[in-house]
Amino acid sequence: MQDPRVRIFVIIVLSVAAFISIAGATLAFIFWICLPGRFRGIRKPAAILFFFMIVLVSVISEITSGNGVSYFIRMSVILLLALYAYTAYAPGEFFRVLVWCFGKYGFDPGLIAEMSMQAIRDLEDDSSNIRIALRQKAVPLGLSTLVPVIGMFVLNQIRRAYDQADLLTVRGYKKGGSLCPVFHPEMQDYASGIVAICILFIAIPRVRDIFILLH
Amino acid sequence: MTLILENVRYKRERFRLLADGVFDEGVHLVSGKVGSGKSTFALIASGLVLPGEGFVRKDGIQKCVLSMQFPEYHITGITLHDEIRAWGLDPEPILAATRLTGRGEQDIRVLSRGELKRLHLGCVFSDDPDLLILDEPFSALDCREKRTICRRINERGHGITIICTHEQTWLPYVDFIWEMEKGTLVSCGRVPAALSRWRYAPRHIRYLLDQGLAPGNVSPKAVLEATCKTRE
Repeated sequence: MQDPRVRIFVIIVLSVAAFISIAGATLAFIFWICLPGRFRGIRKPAAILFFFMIVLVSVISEITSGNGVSYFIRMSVILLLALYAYTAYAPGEFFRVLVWCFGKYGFDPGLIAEMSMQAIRDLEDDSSNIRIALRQKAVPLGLSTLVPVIGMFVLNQIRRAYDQADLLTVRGYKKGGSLCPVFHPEMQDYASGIVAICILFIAIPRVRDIFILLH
Repeated sequence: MTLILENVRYKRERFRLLADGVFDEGVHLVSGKVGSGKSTFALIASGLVLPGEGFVRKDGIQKCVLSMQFPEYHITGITLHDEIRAWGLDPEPILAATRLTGRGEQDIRVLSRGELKRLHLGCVFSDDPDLLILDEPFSALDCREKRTICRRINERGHGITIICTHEQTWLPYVDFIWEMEKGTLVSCGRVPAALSRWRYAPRHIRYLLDQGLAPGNVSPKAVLEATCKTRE
């Protein structure tokens, strides 16, 4: 999916479909299987952390209400879609899409979205570099090292935020701006969008029942 | 003592790195433009990041240390004392050598980046590894500190020192020059013969070479000596 508008739309639609029902989650998973570069995201340490959080909540949910398995399947698929969206994202895409979508009102939210994505990427780089430093010193990540490490994460983010604020001020930013986004959708993008909408319809129980009755 | 990179291939998103070479004992300068792949090369050469293809072999190297460009990443202690002890070193001599005496119990996060870099490099040099890889060791330092770092690099009596930098002026005496060009590691050979093959040599060295006054090395002193010859 080359067009970021279609990619974001497809991810949102499939996430809703996966959340609504098991059928939607299954179809969204099949769609995810067909995506190029789908495995890039699941190798990230944060992905494993999120996965364990889903497992934990699913187990608690299964014990207390009996819906744990359904929750686990639906949330796992949503996590896979989110990881794909994160790895497929290229800098500037949210900015362009939000300006395309909301015109001049999309400029500031777009800028905030881009800065947030950049901050997440920076955190990822920071954590990878800090792990290298710990390995070099043969220091295990424990309580004694956790405080300075987290402190560094926070300080680095604050420093970057100051730098970014300075840069925006120097460039005369107050509010809004101009951007003319250009997109080049391909046939595959349109096809992906249509398939995602179909999956959403099938995922909605009432609509699915109509299909079954017609059949 | 040798570091061998054999057909090393590494890919990350759109970036590709190719490295093939033998690093013998001595000081190696890996130069190249910003974003050419020097930091990635440093990570792979240190063995902290595994290449996609090929292998990195360390013959006779017992201890390897990589100094990353940003000293913040190395912090694992709360105070300066904690940080130095995390390297397995005695704090007081390090504090004295880095002009931070009396600040051992201070929170390390109050140090400026320059002070932090000074402290970090002080720890790295005192650790005295067989293979020392310095990624942009001169960043965040003033000229005086850059000179000190050059001296400390040249004072290392043994082992392999690899300096990955785009620094143009403050360079130590080096034995070999390498270039990182759009992700490909290219050997220029041993200094001084390597200078004529150094494509992205600093402008002042390039000028001297064009004048037929090749300096003996890349350090400011060697360059100054070559420059003085033109005035004779």
